[in-house]
Amino acid sequence: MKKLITSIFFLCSLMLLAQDPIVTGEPANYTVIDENVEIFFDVTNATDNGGNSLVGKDLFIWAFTDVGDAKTNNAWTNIKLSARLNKISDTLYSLKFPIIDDTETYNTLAELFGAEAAPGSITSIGYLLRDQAPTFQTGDLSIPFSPFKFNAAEVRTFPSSVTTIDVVTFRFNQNFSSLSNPALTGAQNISVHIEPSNSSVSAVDLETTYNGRYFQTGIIPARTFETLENAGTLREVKYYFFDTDNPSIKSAEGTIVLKKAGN
Amino acid sequence: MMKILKYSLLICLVVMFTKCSPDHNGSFGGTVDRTIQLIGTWKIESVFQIDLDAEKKSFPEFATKVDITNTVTNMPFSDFEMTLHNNTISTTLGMSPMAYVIEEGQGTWNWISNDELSLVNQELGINASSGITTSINGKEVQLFISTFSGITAPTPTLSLNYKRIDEVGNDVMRYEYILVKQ
Repeated sequence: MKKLITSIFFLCSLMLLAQDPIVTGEPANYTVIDENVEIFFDVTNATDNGGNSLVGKDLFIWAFTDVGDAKTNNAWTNIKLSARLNKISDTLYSLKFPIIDDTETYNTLAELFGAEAAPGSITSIGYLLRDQAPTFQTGDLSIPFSPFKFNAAEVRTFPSSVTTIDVVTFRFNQNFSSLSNPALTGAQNISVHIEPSNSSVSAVDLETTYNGRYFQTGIIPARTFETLENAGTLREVKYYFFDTDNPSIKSAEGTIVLKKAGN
Repeated sequence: MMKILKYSLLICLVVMFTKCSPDHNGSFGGTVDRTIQLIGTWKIESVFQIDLDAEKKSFPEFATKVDITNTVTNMPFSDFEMTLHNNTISTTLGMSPMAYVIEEGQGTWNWISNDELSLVNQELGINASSGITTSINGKEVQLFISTFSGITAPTPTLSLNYKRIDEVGNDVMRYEYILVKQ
């Protein structure tokens, strides 16, 4: 009886001590498109499926997502050497980007999983640690990462990247929670003042329309500021919105960099 | 015993020939001639602008794709018309912002190769099934067709995608033009 209680106590102690690897990152918050990320695995109290410690072992990572497996996985019985974790100490390992995989280089998690065209489609990253053979493995675990987040703003332009000859839409969000000028909350008619950074004389004021979410209007910079475009000096415009009926009530100012088109 | 063997052989032969006979004698559907489907006059009905960065990050639709058909005052996209023949094209721009995409006048057009298409699909994260290159007044323009689903509708529609690149060749944004056959 005494032996049985001792064994149960011993097993319970082992279960309490056994933990999954502790995963952290440098930087602490990273997305799947961030470069030069290093993901650390602290295996101090971590064990494999057989309850054996991972401390000091040669560890490989087998990783997978909801959109595809890591390109370093290869086959279960023939994992690539590029999947080997860097051994910083017996208890601390890391996966450091860029990862060199034969002739390929993966700069980000998205590239590692072949999702660089649609990185937002990665919603979870799973992994397990194992040796090369493998003779042992952990259970399925997960690597945390920061999701992409659309941040609301008082003023913005659409799209985020434009050339001088593209349509640029200027948008004012009257429902933004922290309007820089609360007096704009009650404005019925909103206009936008657009001015090239290097030529205030070319400024234009345009009325906006409300689309249910934004007060907005658009221009093609090369058309509106034709002289500057022809001179090759149209590179940036500043803008702010104002109450059409009381022009002294203005929003925060925004700036947009205009690229030169290649086609 | 010989009878059993004879009958077995006969049954085998009957089964073999039955299995090998065609299910029907009708002809299979012919290949769709996309060139014929494209021939005609097309006019822009609506235009969308796609923010490539927002699209990659799966941001909400209002932050990813915007209808700009009537965004620019006095510059209606609907002024644009193009007429395609077997391998010739003519365009009319009017006051349309399409002047910043394609030349006005007459020229030629060709189908884009499959290799080039897969590269563009990979870069833009779209799944264009086909595309054409137009050449007017020496300016070449590539337009990608994401779907042919509307082309056989009673009022045929065509979705064309145009990728804007900057001076060093980086992708900037994408336009999607919805055209209606006249």
